[in-house]
Amino acid sequence: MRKLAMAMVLGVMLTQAHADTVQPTEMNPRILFENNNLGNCLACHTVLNHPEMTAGNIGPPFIAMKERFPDKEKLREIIYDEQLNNPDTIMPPFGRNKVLTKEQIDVIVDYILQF
Amino acid sequence: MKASALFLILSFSLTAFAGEVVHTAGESETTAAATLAALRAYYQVTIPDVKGDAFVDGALNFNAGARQYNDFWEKRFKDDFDQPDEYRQAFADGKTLWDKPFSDGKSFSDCFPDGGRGAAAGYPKVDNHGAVVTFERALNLCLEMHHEQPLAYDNMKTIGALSLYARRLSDGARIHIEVKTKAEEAAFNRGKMLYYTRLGQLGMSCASCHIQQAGKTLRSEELSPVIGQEAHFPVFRPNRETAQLSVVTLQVRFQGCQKNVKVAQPFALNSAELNDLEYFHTYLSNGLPLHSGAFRK
Repeated sequence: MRKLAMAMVLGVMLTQAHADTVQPTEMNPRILFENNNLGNCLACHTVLNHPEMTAGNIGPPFIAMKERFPDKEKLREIIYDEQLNNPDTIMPPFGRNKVLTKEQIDVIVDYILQF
Repeated sequence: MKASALFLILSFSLTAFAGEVVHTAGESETTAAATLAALRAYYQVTIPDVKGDAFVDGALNFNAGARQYNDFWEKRFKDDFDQPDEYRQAFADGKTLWDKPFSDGKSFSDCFPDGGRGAAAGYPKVDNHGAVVTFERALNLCLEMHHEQPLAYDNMKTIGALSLYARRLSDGARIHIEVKTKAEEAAFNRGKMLYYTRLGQLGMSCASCHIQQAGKTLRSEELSPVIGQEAHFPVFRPNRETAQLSVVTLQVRFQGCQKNVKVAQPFALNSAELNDLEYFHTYLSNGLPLHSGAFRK
């Protein structure tokens, strides 16, 4: 519990530090994945193998990603615009609404596939 | 040149309104009563432990730690020795404004039946022109009627404090909003449309979080159901770094949600859009007891 609290405090501090320094050309996978102005993946998805990375339970957890997504393209499409598959989803259309560039989405896809 | 500017403005305002609707509970129902019934039925399935007046506690229902933290502040609010200065000051400012006679000798208590007791539970109302009048707008209309300057809707030290105090006069009164006339139905439907429409760069609707995902956790905060949200506003919220409390009215909170989903230009306070939204939003809390000045983190 204490560890989780520490991780959350650290996480908040980190994201705040990043918020001022985020570049539109940001390519650091961890920053793209975590920052609340960029991917903000942890807001809704948990990483089951890393309990310290738990802040949300809205989306499906990141687990067995390579087995679930043998085709990378499927994962890329979900991040680009999940509304195409699932019109009433809460998942933001990161690519269509230009929250992330295509190149940034590629970096996130590769990052998530490690889980 | 002019035509192209007009076209630009039009296309922007169209994208703002012609958004995609999220089809979730209550969206397809055509009357106010049916919408509320559908939401209650949905929550009975998704958050079955939240019942009756417990809806007023919103997200606190889903997180024991959050409830403990909230109780800690609420206890301080009631403690004469430990009462936070900002809390005491806001109610004192509100009372001063409420009691101060206008230049014609009248005061706010003359604008509402029973000196304002219980009045807030019947707001927002729809006026003769079909426009929604929120309780804050009614306070300003009272000032205007007595030839006084209305208060700015973004000034939490004036309208925020006044609303806090004036709503406290209705403490425990149960919200009763009627949607009966054609004008009321139209206002309800306009507010409802906005509630289910995706907004901002993140393309999320109010309903995405507070209906579809209510009870779930988002970036370590639980999402409250729409039913019950309106009952405890204005709220006191602490500054993230200093824990300094500030008053937040419902429409300022609406703007906060819009900023969260990256709406470039949030709807203005007391705009027709936010007033319609507040009318729809308040109807859904019908029957729940008012308690202004609650703590929310």
